[in-house]
Amino acid sequence: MNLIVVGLSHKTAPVEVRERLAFKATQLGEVCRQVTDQSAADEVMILSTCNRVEVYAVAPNVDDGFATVSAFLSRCADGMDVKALGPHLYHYPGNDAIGHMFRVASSLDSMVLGEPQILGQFKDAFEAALNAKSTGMVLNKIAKKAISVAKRVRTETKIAENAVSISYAAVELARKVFADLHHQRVMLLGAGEMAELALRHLISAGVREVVLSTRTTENAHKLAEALCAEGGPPVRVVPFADYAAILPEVDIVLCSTGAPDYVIGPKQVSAALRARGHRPMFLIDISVPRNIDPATAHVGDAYVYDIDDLQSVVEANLEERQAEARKAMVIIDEEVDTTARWIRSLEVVPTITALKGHAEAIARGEVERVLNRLPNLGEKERKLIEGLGPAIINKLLHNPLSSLRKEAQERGGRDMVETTRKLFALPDEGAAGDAPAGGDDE
Amino acid sequence: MSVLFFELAMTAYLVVAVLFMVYLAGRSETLTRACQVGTVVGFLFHSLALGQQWIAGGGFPVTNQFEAASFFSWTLVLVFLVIDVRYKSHVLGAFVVPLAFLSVLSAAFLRGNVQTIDPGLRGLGLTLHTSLILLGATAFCLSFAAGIMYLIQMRLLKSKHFNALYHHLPPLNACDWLIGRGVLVGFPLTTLGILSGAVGAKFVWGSYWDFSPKQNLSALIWAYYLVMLVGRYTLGIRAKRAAYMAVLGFVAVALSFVGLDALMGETRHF
Repeated sequence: MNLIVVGLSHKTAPVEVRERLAFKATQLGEVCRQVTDQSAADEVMILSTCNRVEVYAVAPNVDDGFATVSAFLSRCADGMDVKALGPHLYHYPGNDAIGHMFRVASSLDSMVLGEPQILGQFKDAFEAALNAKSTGMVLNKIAKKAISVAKRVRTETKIAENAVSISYAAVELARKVFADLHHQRVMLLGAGEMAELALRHLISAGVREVVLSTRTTENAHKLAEALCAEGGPPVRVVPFADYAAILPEVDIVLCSTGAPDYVIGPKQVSAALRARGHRPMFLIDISVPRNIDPATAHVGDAYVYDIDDLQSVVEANLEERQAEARKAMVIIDEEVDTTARWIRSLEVVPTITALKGHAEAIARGEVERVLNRLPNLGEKERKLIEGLGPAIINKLLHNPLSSLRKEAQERGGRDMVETTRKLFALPDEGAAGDAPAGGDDE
Repeated sequence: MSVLFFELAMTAYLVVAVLFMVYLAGRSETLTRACQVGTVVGFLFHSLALGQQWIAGGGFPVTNQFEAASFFSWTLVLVFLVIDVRYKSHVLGAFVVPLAFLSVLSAAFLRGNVQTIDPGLRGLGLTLHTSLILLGATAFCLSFAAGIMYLIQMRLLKSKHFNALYHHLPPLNACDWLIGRGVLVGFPLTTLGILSGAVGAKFVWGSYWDFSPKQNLSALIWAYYLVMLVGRYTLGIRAKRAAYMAVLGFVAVALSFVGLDALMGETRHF
């Protein structure tokens, strides 16, 4: 019973390779079934995002599993044989595979550390595999565990806190000035792409009103229409010549015009602040060359940030996430350990079932023999004698079975399994047939 | 016994104040729990101490400077706990609990030379006057703490210095809101406190107002907060200005409480 991972990610393969292998969400279930048919794996789940394609499988034999799954992937990657795809693939067996799965789900292996999408993609992949019935007891358990580990990492560390994009860093800073943004009016000056992105972040943060002002009024109207269609706060378009007059009304200014010089200066801002009773103003300049005179930063109650300031916020936050990732690794190691113990304990399940079956058969035989010899017994006596067999078995086997389980959880229990089979002359594992699954759940 | 509880409360406040400083320096949120528990423990001891004073003194324990300082810090901690539960603003404690500690510490020093008030002054009128003034001071003290937080956060935002403190401190507008709230609540309490004092003075000394330095300072402080309260909506005294005014205002209040009596060697209290 081994979990294996075969796959490639942004760390091992360029996009040219990843795009050849990527599976559509709709075909995932079908592909899972194909892998189970065409490889030496019993249980299969496939995770396919734009940054990674990975096959999680449970295989009786690790090497066979690696070889057949790799071969399958190279058949799927059009125009790439095993040799061409091989260098991009990574293979993890056992605990490394569990650890990898946990790290992926927890977004520790993502391009942007702590990004939230991967967990949803992981859940979808698991769902697809479940629907295709390509998973079994082991993979179900480990995948569910991966989801709960990811949640634990998210709540117990700050891996997902603080913005790691420039446009979102602007929103976070705005929140540090205005608390919630429900009463704030935001003005977008110019039509830079990043400023528009920041505007959309601010809208989803709940700003009260949006004012648009661009040199070509047509562009502003187009954007206004688009924003209105998406729902959200009211949008007002102001001619570019009049933006200065609106300045006192707005709390947040996003500035991103193509102007070669300053559009907003300290004089305008201090006049605006006087007019608005010194309520703070938050000005973001995402234009290069800058459109807001840096001297504006010296005006009291005006908070001015340019693109470099936002960049440094993002860098500091990324560093913070790195530190949090180290804490998350401790959590993951811990969880891998408990999961590995559970898997190891599965190894003794066939032996335990066989031993129980063996003992029960003996007891049943003996009880029947005795009962046949005593045909005149009353109902009560019969019941008593029938109960004797299971009672003796349970008492006798209690200690051996629990030490077997314990040994399995701690050391895998191979030796003890051998010994038990020899002692009780149990048939070999293969001959005993597959043990009923789920008998020994945690 | 009341000394024991009082000292236990004081110790708890000191420990919590130190814990809060450690909390402010780091990014971790784990210490907040210890700070909350410590504050509650200190507050309970403090309540026991006040209760004993009440029973021992046979009246609401605001009859001398020691009791007044103790009562003031008790209400301060109480209001902080309420705000903490209501708004989850743990960081406010980092500014309020040290102030509460300083206040009980000064109370501890004052305990040595308790000047009991002329029995003629005692009574419901004085209790009312003192309590109102102290409650007003508590509100102003919260404005002060919020003002300090505002000014620090403003500096950090302006200098683009996003350290642990920046992450802990509330948004500027939240600080500004608390400054305004403190004045809004503190001003009417102080007004009523001064009025009840004047009425009491009329009964005891025969005049509403005798222009003693302490009374004049009180009147000045009252006018100052009136300007702050009205100016918020008319003169744009908010944000940075309000923060500076809240800090200065409470410094004056604190001086009028502790400073003047010591400096002037006055005979009348409160």
